[in-house]
Amino acid sequence: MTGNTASSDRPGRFSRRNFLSSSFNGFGALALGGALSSDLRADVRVNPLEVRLPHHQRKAKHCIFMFFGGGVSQMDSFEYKPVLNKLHGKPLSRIPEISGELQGRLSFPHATVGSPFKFQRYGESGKYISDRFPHIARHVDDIAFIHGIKTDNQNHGPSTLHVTTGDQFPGSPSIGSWVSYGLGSPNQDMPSYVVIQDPRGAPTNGAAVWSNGYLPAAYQGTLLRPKGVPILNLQRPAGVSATQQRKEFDALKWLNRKHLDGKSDDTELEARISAYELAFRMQMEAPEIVDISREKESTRELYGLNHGPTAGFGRQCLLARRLVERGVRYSLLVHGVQIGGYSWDDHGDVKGGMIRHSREVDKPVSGLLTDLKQRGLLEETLVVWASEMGRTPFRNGGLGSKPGREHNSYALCMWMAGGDVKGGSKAGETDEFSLRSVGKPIHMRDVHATILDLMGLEDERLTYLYAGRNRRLTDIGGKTLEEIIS
Amino acid sequence: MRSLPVLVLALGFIHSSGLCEEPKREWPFTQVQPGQLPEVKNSGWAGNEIDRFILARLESKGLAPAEEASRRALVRRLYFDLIGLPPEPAAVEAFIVDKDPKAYGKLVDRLLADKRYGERWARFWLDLARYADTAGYEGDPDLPHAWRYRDYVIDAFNSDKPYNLFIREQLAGDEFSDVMGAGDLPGVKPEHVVALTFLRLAPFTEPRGDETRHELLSEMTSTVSSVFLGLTVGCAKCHDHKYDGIPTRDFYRMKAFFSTVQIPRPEPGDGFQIGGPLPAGFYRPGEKKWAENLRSTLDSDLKNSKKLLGEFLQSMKPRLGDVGSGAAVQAGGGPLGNNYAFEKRAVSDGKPHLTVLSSDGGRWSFFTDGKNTGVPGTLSGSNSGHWFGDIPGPNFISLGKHTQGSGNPGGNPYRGAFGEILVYDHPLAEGERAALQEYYGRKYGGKAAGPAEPPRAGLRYWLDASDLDANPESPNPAAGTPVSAWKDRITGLELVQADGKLQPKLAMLGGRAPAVSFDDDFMRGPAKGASFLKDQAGSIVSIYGSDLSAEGYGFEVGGGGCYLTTAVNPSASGARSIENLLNDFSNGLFTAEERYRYRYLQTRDKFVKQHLKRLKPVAMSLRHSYGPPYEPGVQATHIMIRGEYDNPGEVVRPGFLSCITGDDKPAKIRLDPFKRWPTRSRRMTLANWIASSKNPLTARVMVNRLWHWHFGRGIVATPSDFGKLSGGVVNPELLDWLADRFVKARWSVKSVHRLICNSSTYRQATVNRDARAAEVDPENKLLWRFNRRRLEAEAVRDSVLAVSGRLNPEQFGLPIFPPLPGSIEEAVKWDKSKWDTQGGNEGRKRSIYIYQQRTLNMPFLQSFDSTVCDTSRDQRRTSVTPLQSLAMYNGDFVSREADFFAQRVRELAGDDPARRVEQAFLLAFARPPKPQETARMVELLSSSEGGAGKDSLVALCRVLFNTSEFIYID
Repeated sequence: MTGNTASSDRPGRFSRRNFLSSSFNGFGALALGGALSSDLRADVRVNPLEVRLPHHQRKAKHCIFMFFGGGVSQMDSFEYKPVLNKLHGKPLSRIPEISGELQGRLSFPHATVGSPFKFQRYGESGKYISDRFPHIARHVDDIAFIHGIKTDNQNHGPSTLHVTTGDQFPGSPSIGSWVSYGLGSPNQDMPSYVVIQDPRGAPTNGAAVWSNGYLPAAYQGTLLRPKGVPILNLQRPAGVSATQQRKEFDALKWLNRKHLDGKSDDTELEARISAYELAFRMQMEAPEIVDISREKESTRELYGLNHGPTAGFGRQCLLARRLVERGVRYSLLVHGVQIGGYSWDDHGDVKGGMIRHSREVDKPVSGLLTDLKQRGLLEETLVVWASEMGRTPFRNGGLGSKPGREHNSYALCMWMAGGDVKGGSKAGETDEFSLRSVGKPIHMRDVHATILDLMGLEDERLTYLYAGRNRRLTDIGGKTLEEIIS
Repeated sequence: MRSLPVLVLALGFIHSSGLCEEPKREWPFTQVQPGQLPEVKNSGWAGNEIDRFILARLESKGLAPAEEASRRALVRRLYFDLIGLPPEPAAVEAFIVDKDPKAYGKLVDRLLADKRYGERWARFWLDLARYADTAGYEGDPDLPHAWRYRDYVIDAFNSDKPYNLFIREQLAGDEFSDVMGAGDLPGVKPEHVVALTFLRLAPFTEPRGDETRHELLSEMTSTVSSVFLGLTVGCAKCHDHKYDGIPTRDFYRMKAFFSTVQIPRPEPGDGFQIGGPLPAGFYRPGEKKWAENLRSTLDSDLKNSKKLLGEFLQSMKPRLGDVGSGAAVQAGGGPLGNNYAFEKRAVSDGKPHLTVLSSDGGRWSFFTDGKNTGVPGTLSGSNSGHWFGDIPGPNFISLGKHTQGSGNPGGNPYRGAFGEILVYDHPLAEGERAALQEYYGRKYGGKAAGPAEPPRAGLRYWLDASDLDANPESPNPAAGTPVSAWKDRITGLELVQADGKLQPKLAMLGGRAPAVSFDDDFMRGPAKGASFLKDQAGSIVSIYGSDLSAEGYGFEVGGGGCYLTTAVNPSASGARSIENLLNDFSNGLFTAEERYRYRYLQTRDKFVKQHLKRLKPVAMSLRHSYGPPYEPGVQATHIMIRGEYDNPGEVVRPGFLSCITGDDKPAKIRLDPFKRWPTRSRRMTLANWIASSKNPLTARVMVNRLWHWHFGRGIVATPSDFGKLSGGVVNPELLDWLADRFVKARWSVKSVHRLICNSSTYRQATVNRDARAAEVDPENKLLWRFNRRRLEAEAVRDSVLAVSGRLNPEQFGLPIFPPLPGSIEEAVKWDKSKWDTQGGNEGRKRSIYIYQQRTLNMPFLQSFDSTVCDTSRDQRRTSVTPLQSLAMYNGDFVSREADFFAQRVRELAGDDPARRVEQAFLLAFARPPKPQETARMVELLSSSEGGAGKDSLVALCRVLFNTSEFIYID
C-alpha cells in the first residue's frame, strides 16, 4: 500500500486556499513547492510543472535517455563472449534448461554466430568493449553497465513500450512523464520533457513512446522538430507582428480578468491567464535552443556534426546538452526507425548492420559525455543508453550468407552514466552465450526503479491513482540496483 | 486513506455464505432500492426528486443551494451539455424572451431530440470502449471498418436505445436468435455484428499463439467489467484484488465466458495485426445509397487525381521563378521500397558536370563539380542508404531510360550525354575527389594540368566514352556514330543496343572529349560478375551533361523489380522544386489551403484505395467458434498463475462475480435443445446477467456515468471504479433512486438526461453567495453550485468551427482527416501516407469523426487532453499548459478559422466597429458585450493591423477564441 499517493484522477475544483500564489510565476526555480505529498493534487492542477522536492537527495537534476530502436546486439557491443566464436556455425554446445520464447527459438535449427568484431579492455575497470564503439569505450570508467535485463515481450512494439513506459501495453505514462510529474520543471519557459527524434522517422509505436498516458497532458513529451521552428505552434500566425500579438494578448488578458470577476476562487482560470504569458515567453526563448550556429567548431567536431554518418545523431546529442543547460528535466533521444535499414534489428547481417548503426552513434554519444563532463554537467545529468531487447547468440535456420541475430527479451544490455552512477561498475551478468542472466535476475522494473532513484524519486512513492489502482512506473515495484550507485 | 463509506466486501461474505442466513451486503452490492424521498425545509426549491436528495444533504450541513443561473447561462449550458455545440444567437434570444413557463423543459426536449446529441454523447462512450481506428504497436495498421461501430454508438444514443439492449448487443449481438431444430445457425443482424466490434477494439500486436489469446480475452474481461459493472476486475488477473472482493479465480471464471470467441482470419493482403472482418451489410437508413455514391465519387477522384495534381502544380509554378535542377539517386522496388536522395544544385543546364554520389552504407552524399552540396538532400522518400549490395538479385546494368528493375526501358527518357560512369567500392575521400576533379578538369575542361587517369584504388567499374570497346589499342569511332556497344574497362561487361531506334550516338562533351549522347535511347548489359554488386557502400561517379525538362534516368543496376539508379531532375533542386517547397512549412510561398490541397492530390492513389476498402459492407467483429468438427470446441479456462499465459492452474467454469452473486457457482448456460452448438450462448448468458435489473451495479454505474458527464463529477467520483479506492459515494440514496427510475423507464438514457437537466440542482449558477459553502465542502461534492467546466478537446474544435461558420454538419461515415499542423505528420510517421489530408469541407465534420490513430494523437486535441484510447477511459482531464495556449493562438487551425469568423462578423455587422464587437460576442459567447467591453475591443480594433492584408477584425476574433469564456461553460 502506498501511503504517499501523490495524486488521483478524481476531478474537483480547488479553492483559493489551495492556490500557491507564487507557484505559477514562471522563470527559474523560484517556486520551491512542497515535496510530493497527498495534497499535491491541488498544486498539480494549478501549476503542473512547479518544481517539487525529490523524495531523497541525488545529484542528477536532468536525465538524457537515449533509445536505440530495434534491439542492440549486446554481444557485438558491450558483452564479450569469445565462446561464440568457437562455436560459430554450430548449435549452442549446451542448450540451457529454459522455458518460454527462448526455448522456442532453440528448438528450431540454429547456428551460433560469433561476433565479427574485436574486443579490447578499456579503462581502469578493464571493461571489454567491441571495436565498434572506440569512442564510448574511452568513458567506461564513468559508465555502469547493466547486463541480462529481462523485458516482458519479444516483439518490438510491446517491448519498446515496456522499456519506455514500464508496461508492454500502450496507455501508460513514459519515464519522462513520471519524472516530470515527480519533480516538475526548473525552467517554466520550456516544456519539462522534450523528445528529439531520429530525423529519418519514428520508432515503433510512434508517439506512444513518449506518451503521458493517464497522467495530465502537461507531462507529455514535447517533440522538438527536426527543422524550422523547434516546437509546434511557436510561430505567430502569418502576418502578425510581435507588437500586434502583444496587443492581442493584452486585450485577451483584460477579457480573461473580467471573466474572472466574481470567480476568484477558480484557480484553473487564473492558471490559464498565466499560461498565456508563459506561452508568450516560450515563443521568445525556445527558438534559441535549436540555434546551434554559435556552437564552437571544436564542439561541432566533438559531436561529429561535420561528418555525414554522425551528423544526425550528433545534432540530437548536442541539442540534448543545450536542453540540460536550459533546465529541461528530461530529454528522450531516439535513434533508429522502426523497420528497415535504420533499425538496429539486425536479423540478417549483424556485421553490416552494427557497422552502420554504431558509426552513427559512437562518436556523438562519446561527444555528449565528454562535453557534459567538461562543462561540469555530467554530475547533474543522468545519461541512459537503452534499447528494447537484446539479441540471441545464434541465428535460426543456419548462418546464411550474412549471419544475423534474433530477438532476445532475456538479455537486454543498458548502461548509465552521470549523477550518482558509480563509474566502472556493473549490475547483472549473462551466461557464457549472452543468452540470459545468471545469478540475480534483473527485470526492467528494477532498472526503472534505479533511474527514478538516481533522479531522487522512489518508485513506490511516485504513484498516481488511476482506474482503481495506485499506478507507478514499476507496476509491482522494482528493486534499485544499489551496486551501480556510488 | 479516504474516510467515506467503506465497502465491506465480498471476501468476507463469500466465506460465510454457506453458513447461515443471507450474507449482509454493503452498497453497491445491495439490490437497488428507491427508498424514501428525504424531507426538506425549502421544498419550494426542489423541482424534482433529485433536488430533494441534494437539498437534504445541503440542509444537513446548513447550506443553501446557489441561485438559479441566468437564462442566458442556462441556454448555453444546455447546448454544450447536450449537443456539444454553442447556440446560435437567435436561439438564445428566442429562449430568453420566451414567456412559456415550460420553455426550459421544451428546450431540453428539443436538444435531446436533436441529431447532434448522439454525436456528443457517443464520444463519451467511445472513450469507454477504447475506440480507435488503428491497431497500435508496430506499424499501427489501419482497422478499416472500426468506424461502423462509432456510427452504431451515435445511432444508439440518438434513438435512445434501451441501455440493457445496448449492453446485450455489444457483448452478444451474434447470439440473439434461438437455434431450433435443424438448419444452420441463424444469420446475425448487421447492426448486431457491428455492435460486437466493442469486444475487439483493444490494441493488438502480432499474434503469438496462446499468449495473444490469453491477453485478448483478459482484456475483454477487464474492460467489460469496468465499463458495465464499475469494477476493476483486471487487478485480479495476477493476484486477488487487494481492495475489492475479487479473487483471481473470479477473474478467470468471468474470462471463461469469452473462451469460445473466434476472430476471423485476416483477409488476403492484410497484416496479421488487423484480423479479419465479418459481413455486415449497410443497415442504417440511406447508408447503402450513401456508400454507393461515395464509391463512385472516389472512383472518379482516383481517375482525375493525376490530372488535377498536374494542373495544380502547373498553377503553382509562377510562385517559384526560375526552375533549377538537381542530381539524384533512387532505390526502389521489392524490399527496398522507394527512396530518393536529391542534391540541391542546378545540373540540367546542358553543360558538363562531375557528380560524385557516395554512400557510406547509411546515407548519401553528393559532390558536384568538387563541391559538397550540403546535408544529403531529401526531396522525398527517406533518403535511405541502399547500395547495390542491397538489391536481392541484380542481373543487369543499363543506361538511359528507367526500367524500374525490369531491365526493359519504359520510364522517362534521358536527354544528354554521358562521358564516363565510374563505380568505386568505398565513399571517396576528399583527396580522391580532388584527384578526380583534376582529371575531369583536364579531360573535359581543357585545363593544362591534371592526371591522365582517375584514381584507380577501389575502382570496380568504368564506362569511358573515350574508349568504347575498352581496348586502348583500338581507336574510338568518330562523333555522330551510333553506339551499339559500350564496354566497361574494368570487368569487360558490355552494354548493348541492337534496336536502331534506341541507339545513342557518340558526341562531344564540353566540346572536348567524347561522350555517348542519349535522346530517349537505352543500353543494357549483364551484371554477372560485376564485383561492386556485393559492396555495402561505395561511390558512383558520373561525368555527364543534360538538357532535361523532366526527370531523366542514368546508370541503373537492377533485377527482379529492384534497382538503384542515378537520375537528373530539373525540378529537384532543393530551393526550386514546387513539391519540396509545398512540403516545407517554413516558407511563406503558399497558403495552408494550397499545401493541404497538394497533399490531398498527391496521395489520392493510396487513400482512395483505403477508403474504398473502408466502404466494404463488413465490420471488425467477432463471433463464437462453431465448435467441432468445424472449429475448436469449448476450451477449458484455467486460472493462470500470476497472470502468466504459460502457467496454468486450476480449471474453472464460467461464473459471475462472487462479490455480486454471493456464491461462486457456475453460471447456467442455456444451449439449444439439441446441443448442436455447445460453443454458443456463453456471452449472451453473461450479457443477460449484466443487463438485468437485478444486477446491483449495472444501472447504478450507468446512471453515475451520466451524472458525471453532466456535472463533471460523479456521485461516485471514479465512474469505472465502484470499489474501495473509488473514494466512496457521496449520495447513495440519490444514485439508487436514479438507478431505479432508469430501469423503470425501460433503461432510457434520455429519461435520465431529462430528469437531471430539469432539476433545480442542475439549474444552479456556478457561484454561490454563501462563502461558507466553500469552507464546508471545498470540492463541491454536495453540489451547492453548478461546476464550471472546460469543454473537452472535441467540443473546443467543434465550437471553433461552429462559430467560424464552417462546421460541416454531415453526420456519420468514414473517418475524417483534418490537416495536421506543419510537418508533424512527417515527424511521427510510420507510413507517411497514413494520414489523408482533407483541407476541404470533408475534413471539417465534427471531431468525433476524426481518424483515431493510436500512434498519433492530433496535436491540437491532445493539448486539450484528448486521448486516442488504448484502454477504457472514464473521464477526461483538464490541463492548463502554455502549449495549449500556443495551439489556440498560433496554431494553423484556430488562426485560419479566425479569418472565417471575421468574415462572418463582417457580413453580419458591416463596418461599424461597435456593431462588429457586438456580433462577435453574440456568436462566440451567446451574449452581447458590456459597454466597457465594447470600448476595450473597439480600441483593439482601431489599434490593430490585421496583417497580410487582413482586416483588423481578425485580431478581435482571434482574441475571442482564446478567452476563457469561449471554452468554459458556466
